[in-house]
Amino acid sequence: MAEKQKKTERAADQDEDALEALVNQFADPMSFVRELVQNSIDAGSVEIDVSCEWKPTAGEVGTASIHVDDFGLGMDRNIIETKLTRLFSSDKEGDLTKIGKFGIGFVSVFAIAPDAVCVDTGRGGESWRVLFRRDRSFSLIRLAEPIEGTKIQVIKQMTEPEYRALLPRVRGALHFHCKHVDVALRFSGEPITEAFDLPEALIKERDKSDLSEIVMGILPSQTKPILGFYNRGLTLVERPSDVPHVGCKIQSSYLEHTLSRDSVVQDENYARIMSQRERLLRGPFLRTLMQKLDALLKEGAPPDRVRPYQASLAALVIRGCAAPADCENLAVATSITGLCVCLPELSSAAERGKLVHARAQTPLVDGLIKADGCVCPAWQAPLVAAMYRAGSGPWGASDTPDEDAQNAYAIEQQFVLPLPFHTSDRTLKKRITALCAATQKLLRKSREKAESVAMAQLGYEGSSVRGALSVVMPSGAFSLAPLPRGHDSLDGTLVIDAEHKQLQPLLPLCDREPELAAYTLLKLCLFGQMTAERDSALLTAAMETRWRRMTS
Amino acid sequence: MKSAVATHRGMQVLHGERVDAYVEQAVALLQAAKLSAQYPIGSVSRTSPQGGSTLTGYLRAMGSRLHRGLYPQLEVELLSGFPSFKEWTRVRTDVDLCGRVLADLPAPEILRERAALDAAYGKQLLKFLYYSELLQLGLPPFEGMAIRLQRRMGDGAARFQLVLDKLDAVGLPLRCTAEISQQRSADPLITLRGDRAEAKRELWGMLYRVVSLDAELSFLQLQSLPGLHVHSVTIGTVGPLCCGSLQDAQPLDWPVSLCWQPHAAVLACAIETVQRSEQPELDQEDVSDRNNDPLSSLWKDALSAAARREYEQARTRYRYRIIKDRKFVADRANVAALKALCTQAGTQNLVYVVPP
Repeated sequence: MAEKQKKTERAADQDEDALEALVNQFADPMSFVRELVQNSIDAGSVEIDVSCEWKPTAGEVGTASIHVDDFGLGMDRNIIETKLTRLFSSDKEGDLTKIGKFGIGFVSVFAIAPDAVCVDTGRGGESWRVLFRRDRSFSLIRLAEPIEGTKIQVIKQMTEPEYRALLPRVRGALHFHCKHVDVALRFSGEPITEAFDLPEALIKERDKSDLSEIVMGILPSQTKPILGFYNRGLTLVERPSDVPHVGCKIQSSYLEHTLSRDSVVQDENYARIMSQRERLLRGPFLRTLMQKLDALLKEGAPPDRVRPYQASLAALVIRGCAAPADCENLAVATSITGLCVCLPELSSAAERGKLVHARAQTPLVDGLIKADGCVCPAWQAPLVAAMYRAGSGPWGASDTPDEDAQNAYAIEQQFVLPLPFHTSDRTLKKRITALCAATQKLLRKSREKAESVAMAQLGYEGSSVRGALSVVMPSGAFSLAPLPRGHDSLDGTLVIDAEHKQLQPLLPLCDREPELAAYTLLKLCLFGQMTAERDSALLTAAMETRWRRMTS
Repeated sequence: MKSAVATHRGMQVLHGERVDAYVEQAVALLQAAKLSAQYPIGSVSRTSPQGGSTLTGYLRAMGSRLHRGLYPQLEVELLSGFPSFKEWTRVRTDVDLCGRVLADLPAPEILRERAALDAAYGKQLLKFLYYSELLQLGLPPFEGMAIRLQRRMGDGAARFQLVLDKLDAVGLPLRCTAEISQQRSADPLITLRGDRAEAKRELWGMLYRVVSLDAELSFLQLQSLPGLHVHSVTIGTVGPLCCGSLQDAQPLDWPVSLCWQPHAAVLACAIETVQRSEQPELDQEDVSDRNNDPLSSLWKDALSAAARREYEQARTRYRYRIIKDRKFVADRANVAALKALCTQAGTQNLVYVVPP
């Protein structure tokens, strides 16, 4: 007998725990307003009035009440007893014409620990009041006056400052959860609902099918784009968009929130809806985006206006979106010289490794353009970087090439172009020629691979090797080449900056001690790559050459 | 000179200011009625505090404030108090023509400029303004049918919701919402393509015909169709409407005591549900019929003894209950008369007061 009683008590405790978990099922206790609005919509109400009031009682404490009034079907005694006051007894589960599913929404009103909840409701000429007490027990009272729909009051004792703090929370919860509902929802008489749209979007596309309604648009830079999921206008989840600058709202009666309401169930329908979204993104949206971009670039719009479109295009390129056939010739970027460039041209330049961005038009930029390269202004760096990652899938959490990735495709990170050195100073010219010859002789003697030594301009504005004393050019001293990574090998022409300040003391030295000047120059050039063996070989070769010169 | 009001064959023809007075009163009554989705409301405006429905949109389009005097008169059915079918159709046609008309008209600036010189352009400008506003209202058809899959039930069976909006024989807007299940069949009345349901014309045709009778007859007629199991039929009817701007309104079953003042306004909205009792454990109170409509009785009350026997057999077979309810919207002066009417009928009905 005692064992049976213990079992009953344990079961009661478990039920109590389960109920407590349902009451506090949402992270924000104010989410109960969404559940009540959802129930009202399912009851066929096309107008819902939410309001709050506070009445002083004794001392500082008063009675606050949150009212949610609808004009829907209402409830009769049978519904109250079999649905409202019984958990998990909803007959809406699986009903595609309803939003509610589980029959646990109403109980969330207890999340704010109310002192009482009063539900007045009527249907078919019978009107009832269900009065829930703090411990969630209830009384059912027949009302003499007719009631239309369901009017709920959530009552709680609180001070006036507490009530003042409550108001924006109720309004905020309504606005977040119910802004797109297809009914007239009002808070203290003011409309809460807004059209299912992206009103601030610079361009937008819509798609409506039996499955879902999607609106997608490019948002101004100052607006944080979201990817939102809605069922009959009720917000299921809103999360940061996975495409830069592109906001997207998806509405479908097939979308469901999880029991905890913090995510969307990722089932077969979700997958179908996301495919529909991807088709919109890659088709009509991409077309509109490219047409807009083309128009802006052709009218010479400033970078700030173009940037959101181009950043979005960059993200789409990374996702593997290709230009629709009728958009292939549209301008999506400009070259640094102001020419319009289309997506296939960018793609081809990237395939050849000759797509870069630059801050200004420099001799290096001119050199790359002459070599059939494509140079875009630096503010177009995201698109340039994206072209190298086309089809590689999301770049990261935000689909945006990060700053390092963008910088990697700056022209000075990719190419080098020494310029011929010219001087009218005959002495300087003679000294430079002598130092070049001495250095070349020393390299040959020490069995280094360098083919030749040349003096050039490396420190011009925009040079990728500005500040460097030398660079090794693999094929010719003055032709454009990929920027060498490291100086391990001297395989090619060693090009020395004739105007470098480190070179200046070596020039007069070269008059008297050319081998020493050459050895010092090579030591400076190979700084960091100089090993004891290499140093010893160079020094030995220099000393031998000097000895020969002195003795001949 | 034309009189402001003319009546013929159960119709009242309103002219000039009378049209706008009527439209204003009718719209105010409908807005105060708090119509739910069981009525033919269409979609409401979500962003205006007062809302606004398909019905109010149509009525506004019939007023000269919107059409700018392009239509000289408005025909109103005296039995329903609503505009005649012809007027609804006129608005619907204009809605359909909006795009084409606006595309053919010159820009409003040009029309404004030319209107000062030629009256024909003035009329074109009015047309432009009317069609532009009409387009913004985005009115759906006032009659229509829709079917939605509610749930699949396994073994090819599925449950559906059918919604039919129409004007009844006397011009009252009504909506019938039927919930039905269909078993797997070789020749189904409803077919499913994916989750998209389509009902055969035969089903729609029958529903269109029977909803003008009442919910119970509609329920029984639908139930007689092969392979269907009817769960519920609800008919929401808006009207009759009676307002001071209609001098000769004679709504059906309407007590003469109502609407006697020149600025009086009364609207009745009835809802009638026939619902199959699918929980055998319910007690008698939960399955018995309930008539909370002071203006109509249950159909069975009018049956002869012989017919009643047959009727009772059908009730036993299908085990359904009937719930009838009605609410009113009235001007303050008519509230007492309406309350008295309800008390006399032994019903408890809501009476919303329309703002003066």
